Amino acid sequence: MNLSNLEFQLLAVLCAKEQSGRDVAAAYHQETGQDLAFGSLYSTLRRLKESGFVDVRDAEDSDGRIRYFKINGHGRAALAARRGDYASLATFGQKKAFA
Amino acid sequence: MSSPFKSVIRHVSYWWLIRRMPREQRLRDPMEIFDEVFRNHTAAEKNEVLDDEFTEYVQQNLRDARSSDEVDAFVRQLELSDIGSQQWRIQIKRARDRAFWMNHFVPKAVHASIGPMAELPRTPQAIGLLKAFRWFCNRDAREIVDLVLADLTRDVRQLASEGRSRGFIRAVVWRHVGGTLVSITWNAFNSLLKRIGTTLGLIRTISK
Repeated sequence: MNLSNLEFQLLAVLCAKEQSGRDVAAAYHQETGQDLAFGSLYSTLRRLKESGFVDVRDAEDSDGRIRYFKINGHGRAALAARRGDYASLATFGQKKAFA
Repeated sequence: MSSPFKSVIRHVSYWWLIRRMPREQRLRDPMEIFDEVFRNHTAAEKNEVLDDEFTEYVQQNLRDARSSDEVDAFVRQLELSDIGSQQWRIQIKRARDRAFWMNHFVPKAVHASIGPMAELPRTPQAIGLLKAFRWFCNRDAREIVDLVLADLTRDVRQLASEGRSRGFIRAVVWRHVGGTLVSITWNAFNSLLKRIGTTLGLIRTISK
């Protein structure tokens, strides 16, 4: 599956530890400086879950439901592959240009 | 004055006092607000002559008490003590009265001291809109809306406790709600297009 930029970024954020949706949004804001609406965040994370890249655990507190997300092995592999793609893209043409 | 009527008067006077305070004053220590309201309350009943020393003792104990449980314990202690005189009974009654204020007023004063939160409606309009939108969603989208609503509730409380302005909190809530509505609608539209595409493909295959 081809990861979109947002999916790639969210997987990268989830690499550190299991996080709730709100924590993911805060970490995303800290990393990119951009705000992400909760709706977009949960929709994207649901797509990642359906693709089998993240595991989900539900909990509840006085305010309502909390959903925790954790990247799994399949997700890490997809992330590594995408990082490899970006690395090769970044070094594309460098050998010839600097030879 | 009957008890329910007294209670109504007290609550009305509380709201009147809090509402007419400027915002900076609302951010004061809740105990200060409590004292101010209590002074107004006692000033209304000047007829009873009170023992200054005892009043000071009760006031000090109530000031030191930081929870309603501590106030209740103090009042119980007064009631159990061997007090026979009419004057002391009046003092206990007054202390019980103060306990009422502690139990009913201080939690509200704490709430009011947050300031912006006190001015916020119980549910911001944007959250109401999202709740109404939830009704039209399918099961998956409802799940997302539930998660967003819970997170927004936590966000609103956190921002209010940080002393953010009402406008700022509303803007944050509207941004999240707007993003959620657009995202869910876009997903639904995409899925509808896919279904139409699949159906058309089937029709073409069958007609061949």
